[in-house]
Amino acid sequence: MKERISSLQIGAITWNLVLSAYIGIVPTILFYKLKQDSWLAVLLTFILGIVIVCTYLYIWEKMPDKNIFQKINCIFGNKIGAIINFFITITNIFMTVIYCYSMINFITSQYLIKTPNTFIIIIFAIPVVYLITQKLEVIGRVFFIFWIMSLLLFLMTFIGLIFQLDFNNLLPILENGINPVIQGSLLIMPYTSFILFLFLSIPKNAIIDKEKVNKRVLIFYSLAFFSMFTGVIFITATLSGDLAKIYQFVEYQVLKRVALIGFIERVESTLSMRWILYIFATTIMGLYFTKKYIIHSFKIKKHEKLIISMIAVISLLLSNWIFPNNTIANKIVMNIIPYILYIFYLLLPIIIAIGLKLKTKKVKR
Amino acid sequence: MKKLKLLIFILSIFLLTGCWNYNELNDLALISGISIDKDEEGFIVNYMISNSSKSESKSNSNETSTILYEGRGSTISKATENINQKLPKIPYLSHVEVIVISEEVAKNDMLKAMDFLLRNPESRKEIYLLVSKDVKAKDTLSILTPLESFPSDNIKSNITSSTNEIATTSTIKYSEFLAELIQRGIDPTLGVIEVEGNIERGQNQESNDNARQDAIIKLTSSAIFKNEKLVYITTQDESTAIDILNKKLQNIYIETECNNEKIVTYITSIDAKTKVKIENNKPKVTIDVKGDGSLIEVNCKVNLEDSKIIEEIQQQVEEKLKTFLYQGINICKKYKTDTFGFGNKIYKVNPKYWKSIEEKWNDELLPQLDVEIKISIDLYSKGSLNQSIKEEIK
Repeated sequence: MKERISSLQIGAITWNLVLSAYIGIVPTILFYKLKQDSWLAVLLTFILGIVIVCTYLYIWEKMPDKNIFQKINCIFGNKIGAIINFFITITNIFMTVIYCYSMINFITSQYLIKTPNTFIIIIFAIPVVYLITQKLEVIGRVFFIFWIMSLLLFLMTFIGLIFQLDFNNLLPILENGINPVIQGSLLIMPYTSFILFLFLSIPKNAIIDKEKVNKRVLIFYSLAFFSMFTGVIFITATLSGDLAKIYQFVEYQVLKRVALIGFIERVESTLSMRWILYIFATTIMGLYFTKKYIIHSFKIKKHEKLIISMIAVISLLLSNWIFPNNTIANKIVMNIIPYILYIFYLLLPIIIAIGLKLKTKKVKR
Repeated sequence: MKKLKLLIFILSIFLLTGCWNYNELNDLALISGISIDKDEEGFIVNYMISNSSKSESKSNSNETSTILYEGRGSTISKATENINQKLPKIPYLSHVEVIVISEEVAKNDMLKAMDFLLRNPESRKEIYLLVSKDVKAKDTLSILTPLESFPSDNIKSNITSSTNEIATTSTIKYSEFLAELIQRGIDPTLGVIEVEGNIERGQNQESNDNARQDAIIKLTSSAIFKNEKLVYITTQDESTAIDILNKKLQNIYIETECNNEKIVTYITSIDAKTKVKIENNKPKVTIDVKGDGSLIEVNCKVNLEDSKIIEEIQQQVEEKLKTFLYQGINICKKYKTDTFGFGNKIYKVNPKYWKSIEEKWNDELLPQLDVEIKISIDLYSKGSLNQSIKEEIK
């Protein structure tokens, strides 16, 4: 039976993917480099990101019955295609590991201090392994529920912080000119926009109402960025850029100051829940991408569930050992990974898009 | 497959219902107050434990409900480790309400105390931070009161009433202090706590049985910092002036002269707006202070039905308030500390200009800064009486 998913569920996946780096990676990069100008970088990333998302949507549009691996094989031939497919899958696994690392680092440093990382990973792996062995339809439904949950949690955060804002903290604007804003924007773009590349593992024909999907992806992409933009503005207006810079998980620290309706405390836990949902979604999509690669490349028909479950567990366990400490992790996240992602998730898709255009022209002739 | 699913389901019940290394409430020592002192050997940290067995047993009502545990060490962490060795329970920092720091620590080691608390993920950062004056910080945590169960609650209630009802000193929370410490062009302040009376007797439960307490704690003034070092402890009036200009206090009583007697005006809803301009390459500060006034005590013979008289009183109140507020400005100029964040405002409006003056701001420019205070008080109420009693007596 063919896998099916609705455009609304794709939209919900967009929301979860875009925001997966928002709590752990994006603020660390932005406030460290830009302080009170961070919100400008988010705005710029949103605008530049739309171009990238449109590129992905274009790739999706062409050869709608094929996934990205089949399209790459089609354009580059089987040998070169296999190499490219291998590298983009490895990059994807690496990204999944990094997202999980940032979440586990957050959990073990902020509230489950004495809990061994491995135990947290095992707890996280149980639902991941279960969901990844299910059909796309199930994954889509889960993500849609996640979207509703995280939207409600986001609204709680929004209401909690609204009375603590001091917009004077957003000043001065562009203290060091526009260049740091552009640099910051280019650094966070791989973590917020390129991640949507994972969609391409789903053939467009698998979407029930595919005529609506482009519009919905863009709407949910905008909503996710609105959420990110509001978060960054609220952090800056509440704490000031100088103070935001010194915290590791800044929004979590901001929410520690909040009591909803004067007495509901521990609002920061809502942020933690949101982030776990986002990372869960990203891990699932990352593993789904890997699953599709394995099926495509190795033509596996038996034990498919077992293999992907093992890859899921290994990827999650890797996140425990990949970085020796936070300092090294931050350096790699800021200075190395973005460049790798620019090669595989920007340069390569542009080449694929051009290749697809040329290919479809030939077919028309 | 069904058996496997059932096994996973049963395992999940055990795995997902609790946290690793969880602690029962009975195993935790809930810390509600911390004091940090210093002597020649290093830091002296005291934890005030709220859930001592004494506080849980209601039969011994004469016993104190809190216990102080003291630890010593060359660093704050070592001192807390020393406490942990003595504590039969696990220290839990999430319920800390008050941290009192001695003058000595505030003068030399403020950053060490800040770093320790900031790094600790258990601490909630919304803790009242105070400096003890003339007494050890630990003494302020040990004064008992019949009005509250724990001394830390007593301090917290004192802080709240000081800010909201009576204009004495403002509340500074740990995170606010940190924000002022880190931001450019602003120096932080903290509330000051004192003990009045006999400290030793105030620590005994019998003190609470008397109509008059042997010792009480009071919040009187502010500690002014330059960067991270305490430079001066203000008087109560100076503290009130600083807090009004910083928008941390909104109410004040102002006394004015009237035929060798006094008129007292209660000013509420005070709002101070600070504007900084650069004129002839020099910063100029204008502070607009607005508020609502009501006469609450009129001891002289004066016709309060005459609008000219009311205007005169209003002008006197404005003048008195202006003089009162200037003492806050003058003290900060004297100690070269930018408590009002004028530098921060310059930085926000004109960062390039700020960069050019940042180095010499505190020591050269601030003492010479042109600050103008404009007062506008709307005297709208005379209380329940229309006229002064002396005016009516024939």
